[in-house]
Amino acid sequence: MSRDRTPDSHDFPTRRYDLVKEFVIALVVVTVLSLGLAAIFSSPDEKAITMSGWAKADPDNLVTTAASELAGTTTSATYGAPYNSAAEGQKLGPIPLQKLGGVRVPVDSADLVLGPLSNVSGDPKLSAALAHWKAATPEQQTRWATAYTDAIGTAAADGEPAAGAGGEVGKVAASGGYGPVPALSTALLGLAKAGGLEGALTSSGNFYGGDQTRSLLLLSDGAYLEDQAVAQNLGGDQWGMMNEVGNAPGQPWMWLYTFWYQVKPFSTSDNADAEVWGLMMLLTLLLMFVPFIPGLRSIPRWIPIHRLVWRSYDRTAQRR
Amino acid sequence: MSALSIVAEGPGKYIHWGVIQISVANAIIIAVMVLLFILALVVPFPTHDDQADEGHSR
Repeated sequence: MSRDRTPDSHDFPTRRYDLVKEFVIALVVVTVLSLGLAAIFSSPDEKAITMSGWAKADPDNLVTTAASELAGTTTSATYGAPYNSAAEGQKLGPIPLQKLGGVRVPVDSADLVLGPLSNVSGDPKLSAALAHWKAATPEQQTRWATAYTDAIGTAAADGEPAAGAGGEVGKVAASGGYGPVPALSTALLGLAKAGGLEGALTSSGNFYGGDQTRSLLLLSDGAYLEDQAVAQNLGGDQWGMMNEVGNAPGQPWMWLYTFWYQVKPFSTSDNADAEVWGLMMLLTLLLMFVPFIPGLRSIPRWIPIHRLVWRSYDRTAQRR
Repeated sequence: MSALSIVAEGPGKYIHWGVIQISVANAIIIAVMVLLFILALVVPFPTHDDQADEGHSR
């Protein structure tokens, strides 16, 4: 039997130490700092973006977005998983990461428009437009909606000339084979202006009516939400992940993640989300295994910062 | 607290330098973090020897 060589803890030198004093001092310092910094810096208190705000600020964009949802050409309609199977989505090499997640939150883009409108009562014109839409074949519906979005067109931007009516709904030719699409889109605009669109979209999610998925999808398919974000420097190509509204500090620790989105090839890639995630996972693995990687593990020898930390101990050790 | 606020109000101030775009608030936070790191390295900490007279050893 080997002899136990662990020394008795009572043999070590001891010092008096007041743990309660340290705890109280730390609590007082953190409380004073928290209250003081909150008083000086406050916190961002940005008003929520609403459908009503969108409808009033940019009604043409809301009508165009509604028609595009009916045509199935919006970002969410062509997104793929988890909303639909319209695209493979983000891939890491041959691995279809986004598709592997499956369609867990099925959303029919046309339903973002037709769903809320179906709940409106006492509007014979709208009821007729809805009946007209439902009676048509899917091909006819797409033809109508596409003809209307093409007719609205887009304003001139980035050196591109204006298309269609330049994005102005009021200038669209009255007849052009749009079917009930103008009536449906305009009715959605009216519902949004009246403030009833959020409730109609969120009430269908879960029991408590707190599921914002559908209202956020509709909002993000339009230009209003992105314009607001870009104006606040929150865009993906503005290092937006790091930023907060106004002058409040944001999330500076996200610098490396958002950095990759600013440089090629990621800044011009449609697959940037998967690529940046893959790169960050690779860098995380490198960090985890630094002690085993030749070269990387020698950096402390070349740049001996730890000697600064241990300088006092080293001096004492040398004296002994 | 908003009456006392000196930061959250108004449009954000940003520094643009090539591909780098950073808010002044974030730049200050990062500068303070770097400063604290350097101070933690160079400021001498009390050692066991400094406190020997306070303690009891046997």
